[in-house]
Amino acid sequence: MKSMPKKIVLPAVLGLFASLVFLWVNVVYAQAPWPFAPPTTPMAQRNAMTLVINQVSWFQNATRTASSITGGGGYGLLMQQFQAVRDQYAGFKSTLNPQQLSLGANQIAELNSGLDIIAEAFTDYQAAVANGQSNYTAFANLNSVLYEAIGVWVREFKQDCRQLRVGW
Amino acid sequence: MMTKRVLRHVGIRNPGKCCRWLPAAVILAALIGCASTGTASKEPTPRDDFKEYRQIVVQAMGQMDGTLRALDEISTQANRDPRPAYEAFAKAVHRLEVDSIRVRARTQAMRARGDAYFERWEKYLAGVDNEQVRQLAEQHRPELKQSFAQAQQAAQQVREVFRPFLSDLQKLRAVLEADPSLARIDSAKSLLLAAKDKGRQVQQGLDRLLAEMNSMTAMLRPPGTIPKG
Repeated sequence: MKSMPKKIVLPAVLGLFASLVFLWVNVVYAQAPWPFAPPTTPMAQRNAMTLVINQVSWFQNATRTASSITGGGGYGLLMQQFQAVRDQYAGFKSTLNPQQLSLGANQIAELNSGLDIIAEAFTDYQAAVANGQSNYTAFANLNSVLYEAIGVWVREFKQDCRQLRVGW
Repeated sequence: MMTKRVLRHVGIRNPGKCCRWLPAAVILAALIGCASTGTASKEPTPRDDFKEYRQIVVQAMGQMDGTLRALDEISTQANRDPRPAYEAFAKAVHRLEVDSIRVRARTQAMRARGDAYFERWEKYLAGVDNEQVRQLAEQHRPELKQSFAQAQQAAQQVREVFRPFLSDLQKLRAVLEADPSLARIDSAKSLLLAAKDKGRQVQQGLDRLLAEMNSMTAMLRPPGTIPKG
């Protein structure tokens, strides 16, 4: 059997090589940043995860210092810091890839619910004051509940991040 | 011709000979690429949702028992010195506020995701290493689905009653804080009874939820195996 002329074989092989390299690059870097969406690269995920954890620490610090702020400023600070946790968490979710979003759908739903439940502590505080509890005790209780509750939440968050291989 | 010249320039004297190895090299490069950055090692492992949820439900039952006991103590100690009973009750409410977050979050997520929540459990069960368990999950699929629906209903009961129950407890804590005296406790009697009633409903919901989860576990237990704790 006569072999094919080299003139034909060489460009064909090089073409095949180029196509395979292109395909490989596309498969491996399938998570490359989309121009109109946040990046889902491992580094972006790690950064977003760290931001959430850091913001939780800031929030926990605020629960310790809020009582020293007079004139309702402490409550405002807590609200603001809690909203910041929610914002950072929303940013974190946008860095997850479709596979993580699908496999971790239950975990994400639970983390969302967890934040909603923690937010109820703010209305509970207002109700407690309305029901005659002293502002001092009610606010101390709010701080304590928020401090511990967000601690529970962030433990779940870290565990879920490990299970979903966030930043890997 | 141009390509041949370029290849010679970079040190490949016989491009024809070299090209014979090129397809093999391409395949090897692709395989190395797959091995080092493939998805197999990066794929998230499914969480042992079911087992963890069951554990959380059991913990919640313990918390409910403790809180209702503390609530009973207020009535029991009303004639003597109710202050220590009140302190213990306030602590129990605080613990419930924090420790119930996990069970409430899961229960809420169960409602929000509906059947999709069960599908994740099902996928987990179908993916377990034990072939017998996988077969049992397939065999009992309709019963498992029905049991999950029952569990969902029980979770809904817990979710619906828990919030008013907690509100009652918080109200009681606020009302009794300044003066946990017999007169105050007596005036808050209806609130106390309402809280107890709601607490019992939460307990019933948790009992039902645990019973359904136990029945799902029993369906998936290979015959002849000893149930774990």
